[in-house]
Amino acid sequence: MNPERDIPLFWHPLALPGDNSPERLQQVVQVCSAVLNLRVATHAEGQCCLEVSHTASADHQGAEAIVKQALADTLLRERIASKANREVAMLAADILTQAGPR
Amino acid sequence: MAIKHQLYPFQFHRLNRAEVVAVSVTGDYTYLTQDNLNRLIEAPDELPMEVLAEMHAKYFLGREGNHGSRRLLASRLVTKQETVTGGPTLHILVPTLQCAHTCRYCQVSRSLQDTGFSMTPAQVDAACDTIFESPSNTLTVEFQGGDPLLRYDLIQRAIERIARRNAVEKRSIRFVVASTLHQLSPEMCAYFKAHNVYLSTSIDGPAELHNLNRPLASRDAYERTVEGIELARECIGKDAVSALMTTTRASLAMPEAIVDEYIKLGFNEIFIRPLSPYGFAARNEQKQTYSLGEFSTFYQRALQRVLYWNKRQQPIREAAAAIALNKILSPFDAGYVDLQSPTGAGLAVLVYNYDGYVYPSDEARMLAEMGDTSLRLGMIGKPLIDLHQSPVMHALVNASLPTRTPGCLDCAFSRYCGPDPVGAYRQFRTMTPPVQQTKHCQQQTWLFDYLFRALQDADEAFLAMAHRWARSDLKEEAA
Repeated sequence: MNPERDIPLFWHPLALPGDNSPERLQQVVQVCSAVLNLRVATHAEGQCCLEVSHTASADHQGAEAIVKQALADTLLRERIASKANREVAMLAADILTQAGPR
Repeated sequence: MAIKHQLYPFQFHRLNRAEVVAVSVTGDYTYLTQDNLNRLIEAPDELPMEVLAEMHAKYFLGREGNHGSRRLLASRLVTKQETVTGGPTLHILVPTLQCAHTCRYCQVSRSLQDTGFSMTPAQVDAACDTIFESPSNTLTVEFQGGDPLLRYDLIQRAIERIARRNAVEKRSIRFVVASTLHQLSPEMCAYFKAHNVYLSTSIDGPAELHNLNRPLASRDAYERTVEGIELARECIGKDAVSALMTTTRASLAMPEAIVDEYIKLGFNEIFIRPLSPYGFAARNEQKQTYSLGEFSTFYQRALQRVLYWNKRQQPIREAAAAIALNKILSPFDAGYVDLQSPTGAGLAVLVYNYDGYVYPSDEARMLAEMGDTSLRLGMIGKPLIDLHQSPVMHALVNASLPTRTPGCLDCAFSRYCGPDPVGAYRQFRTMTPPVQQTKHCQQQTWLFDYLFRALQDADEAFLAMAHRWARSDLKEEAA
């Protein structure tokens, strides 16, 4: 038996503050894919919403907090990327790339 | 004059709402509160003095115009990459696919026939010559199978050809034979002792588990392997044999018994590994696989048992933790090929298979056994430079650079890890799926998270042990 495969997936709507456009929700799914099992669902009325699956590593109550935290962390990472010294970043990337076959 | 701090690139991994572990470009790490993380990014001057000093020492911050520090940083980065830049160090020869076992999870597949399932002598010779095309001064030549002892003649042929050539080349060469040891004889032991050959075998745990996993018609796989271990130790030396275990579903219930078995058999290292879904393991996937959650529970219990024995002056090292701790705690990389970036597959390891082809890794040749030969680098006998210039090799490298892999760009553990393009290809039939969905990423992310939490809460005894385990030569004794 593969436990992960045999547990049926139940998807539950997840409240997300602010913009709920399909594009933003898709971004959230990508940002949180490592910690939560999320998808963007479109309802009959044409509205989009974020759904979390019961196989997620966190319970349903904690999922919203995790999404908010992940979004806040993404902003911090964007700040680091914009402020960090580019020469050092390029040096690291060069040394890494040089390790390939020449 | 006030010092102008420069923020260097770094990543962080959240431990809880108030704390993260941050990893710098050199792989140095630190635990930061949310407040200090914000200060580091926005206003380093406001960091407490000791935190500020630590941030400079660990390359989270630099000083404008400090070129000496920048050179040191470059040196640290290059040192970490040495195992990949030095050329292939691990050369695996698969002289035969023959094996008497019918293991239900065999990752390789096997055949009882010799015809068509063994290397020709000419292929053995050509593989040995290619090994010396590697620029690396330190080489490991490992014989795998099947059970390579079933073609002992080909092992001897390879060892003697390499030894003759090395009389001139003067490389540091280590031989390893990975075998059930069922065919091992005193004559073989004498030969192996004379040629500095180490033996590697499989012990899955206590006899009932081992025999369940590795069925023989005679139902005595465990007893025969233990006989082989004793013979090797008696004839070659007490450190002549190391052992590996594979975790099956049946293993999950008995982590303590498995560790105790290694203690009983006198091993000072155990490698708690999940099942690799290749070969027969893939065909039996429904019956054999388990979730990461189940494996992590098993792993934690096994590691606790390892720590239990260490506290009782019975030194034993868990290799998966040791490899990760080496990445975290040591400036020198031990060169474990599965956690290299770019990938160790092909760059650090080459597999010369019985079918006449060279593969970039053991897993790639396992895929070939499953009918997918698309990861072949070329035929045995092709110059190393051509193998390395092959389209497959370029695809592997391009798919294993964290700087080009979206999921790795934001990962704090990318300094210690790298995408596994062969595993990704097996799982998704593409080398570049969303990396967080790969088993490799999920497994390694869990392990690094677990170890960083353990290090944060560690007492002095655990920290001392972690540093011993982290030494780059994982073959050193565990004490």
